[in-house]
Amino acid sequence: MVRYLLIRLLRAFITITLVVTFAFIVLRVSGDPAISIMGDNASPEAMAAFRKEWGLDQSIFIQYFNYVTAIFQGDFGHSMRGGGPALDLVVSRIPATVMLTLPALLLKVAIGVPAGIYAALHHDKSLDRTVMVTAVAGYTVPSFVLGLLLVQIFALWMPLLPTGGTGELSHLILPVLTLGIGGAAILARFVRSAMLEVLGQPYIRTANAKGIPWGAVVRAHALPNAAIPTVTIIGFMVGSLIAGSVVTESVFSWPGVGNLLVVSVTARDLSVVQCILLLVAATMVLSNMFVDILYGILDPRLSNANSEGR
Amino acid sequence: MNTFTLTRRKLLASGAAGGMIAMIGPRFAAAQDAERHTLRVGMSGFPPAIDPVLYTHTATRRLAPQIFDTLVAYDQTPAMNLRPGLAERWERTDDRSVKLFLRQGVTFHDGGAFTAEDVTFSLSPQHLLGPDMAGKATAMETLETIDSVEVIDPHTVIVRAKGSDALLEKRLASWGAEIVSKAAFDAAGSWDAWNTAPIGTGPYRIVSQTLDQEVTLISHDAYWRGLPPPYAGIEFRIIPETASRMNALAAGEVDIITDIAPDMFPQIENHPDLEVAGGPVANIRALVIDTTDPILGKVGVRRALSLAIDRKALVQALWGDRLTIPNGYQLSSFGDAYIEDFPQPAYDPELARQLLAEAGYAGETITYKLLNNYYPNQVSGAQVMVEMWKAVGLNVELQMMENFGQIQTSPVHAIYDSSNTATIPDPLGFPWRIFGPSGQNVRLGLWRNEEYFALGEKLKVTVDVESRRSIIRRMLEIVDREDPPVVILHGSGQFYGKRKDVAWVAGQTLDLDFGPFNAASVQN
Repeated sequence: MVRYLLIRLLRAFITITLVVTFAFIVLRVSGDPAISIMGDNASPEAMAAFRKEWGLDQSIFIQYFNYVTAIFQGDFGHSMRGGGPALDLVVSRIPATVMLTLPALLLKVAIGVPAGIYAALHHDKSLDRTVMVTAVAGYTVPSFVLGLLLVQIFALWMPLLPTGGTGELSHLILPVLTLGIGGAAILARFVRSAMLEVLGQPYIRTANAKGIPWGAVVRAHALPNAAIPTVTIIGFMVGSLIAGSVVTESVFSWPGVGNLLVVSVTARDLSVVQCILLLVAATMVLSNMFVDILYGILDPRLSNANSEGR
Repeated sequence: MNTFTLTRRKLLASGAAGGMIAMIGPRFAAAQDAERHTLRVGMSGFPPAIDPVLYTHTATRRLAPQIFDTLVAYDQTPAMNLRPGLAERWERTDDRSVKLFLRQGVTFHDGGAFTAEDVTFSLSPQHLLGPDMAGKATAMETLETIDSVEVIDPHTVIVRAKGSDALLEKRLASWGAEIVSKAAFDAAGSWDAWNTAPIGTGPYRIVSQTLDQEVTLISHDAYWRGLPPPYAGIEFRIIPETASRMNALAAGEVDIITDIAPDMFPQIENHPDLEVAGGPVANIRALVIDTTDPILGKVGVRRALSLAIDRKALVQALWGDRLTIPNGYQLSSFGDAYIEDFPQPAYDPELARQLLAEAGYAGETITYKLLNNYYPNQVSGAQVMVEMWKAVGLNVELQMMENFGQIQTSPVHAIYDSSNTATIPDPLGFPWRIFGPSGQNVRLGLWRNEEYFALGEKLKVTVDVESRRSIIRRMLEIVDREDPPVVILHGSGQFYGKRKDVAWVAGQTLDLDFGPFNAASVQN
């Protein structure tokens, strides 16, 4: 198990390093922050002073070396727009994002899992088809379309909720619904597929033939075995708690990490973008590690296989 | 003819009336204060800094007139006349000096008195050059000619330029010339601290700012113009998404929104409570040409690119005829420096074909590096123009880019969109700033014209109006047809959506003015 964890940690480190390096290079070759932040009316002297101040006049190798060295000292750079430490800025936005994504995750699970199970148990019946048509619709409608549609209905036609912004509980409802509906649809489809696969297994037939009540068969044999793919997809959703709401935050002017990422990419606020990407990569990697550990608990065969190095 | 005779009865009556006014006056002011509400503005971006000497960013310019005053100001009418600001009046003492008589009794937001010392500091390198005096400050674009500020007495100063400067008064009304409190700047101790809440004399003072979310201002009731500012305060809410800004306006969550796209005009105009505000501003949209490209180096090809464009059709189709087509790279607000009889860019496909033939153009590809609607209607406009060019035999290919950094990477070898603002309503504050030796086209190595440069240097030290006009006409000819560095498209506009019951008139620049000098307040 220790060896397994060490390998996972090494892989996580390599993944994060690759993400950070890739982001570092792409951000620097794809646009000049001096133009984005100073505006295209700024004088050449002003632009040159800006580049010097932020070390952008040095070679990319020196910039990268300085960046990596600083990270190991806990310095993630400073925001070119706000001037403050990039990490402080990013961390200050996490509560707002989690305030949105956590209820949305609960909503996804609360709707998606029962809907998927229900559809699987009523396979090929009209209820199954209704759930799946709804799920496909929820899955295929882009979140910005869904968000604007909800605003149109609940803020403009029926002025019950605000169109965006933050401050009160009412500001949360539409963005949480936007995030939750799409995610619930994805989850419902996965849970249904997993359940259908399990329900077709010989051990379910055997349990059924033994005369065990159908409800008990589902609870004791089907659900635990269908949990692996479900946990995988929920793991991804947990991983994207930090940066999974970029579009929704933009549509609702929600001051979270996603919104900060969009503004920072547009402005080429390099340190902030890199800090967010590092954080997102770390969250994703950690959640995947957690999911792997959960696999072992849900299905000890997987844990044993990993321990044996297979 | 009526004659006025003062009788004892009239005197008593006037005394009584005076007493009534004295009693009612404060109540009237209090009632007016109670009627004032907070204006909510949905803005597309957050200002990188509040002090305008640091950035020429649009969001910074939108805040500046609320917080700061200049010594002399533009009246924001199409003529862009100068009006008194913190200087009650001014007079020329010679070609390079202006004597300004400062308004007395003006207080800064922190209650400090405005004096000549604040003028000296605001226009000094210590303030204009920004943090560490690193030359970062963009104010120097308009104020670089200022040599010194001499204090005659606490309310009189003489501003001197380095040489003859016909634009000195206009410079004092332009970007970066905002007056700040020296005492408050010193007390702040650092630029970072200063930028959290800079202190000016403007009609509103800053209360708070939250990065990417809001900037909140409150009325500076001691504002020097007499009556309190029209609003109790202003909330600038940052709503980057255009559709979300529109929704916030339609839902009544904000009173005014900035940066509306032309395709939103009908939606706003069909709403009973809303209207479109704004119009042309001191800005020209053009296509920058890399004249070092073998094909684009040919003047005939460059002129053909211009002659093939039916600008009237373009402005009609994409902007509902709300934009103007300038006559040369100039604006009517240039006053004496405006050459009224200079022709608009012609639409002449026949001449375009002829010039292409003479230039030996054989259908080689011309690259048009394009951003995805960085400017409103940019992509639609480009697609229309490509067809217009095709009609005269020009083979222009669109190449999508993500940002200006990518477009301007050397070698450019292409045409690309630009939008430039007149920082001073004069050729020296507009075409010279772009096409002069320090201008973007030259700096990027896309264009040079020695005659143009020599004319510009001459213009800088020429004060006589007729001599200036002669130089300017020649400079316009070079840019327009002799050696074009750009293809002029049309004037730019700034359009806003607003509630009909909000009395506010947009100005001629990017600046927003919600103070008592706004045309709507002046009319009232």
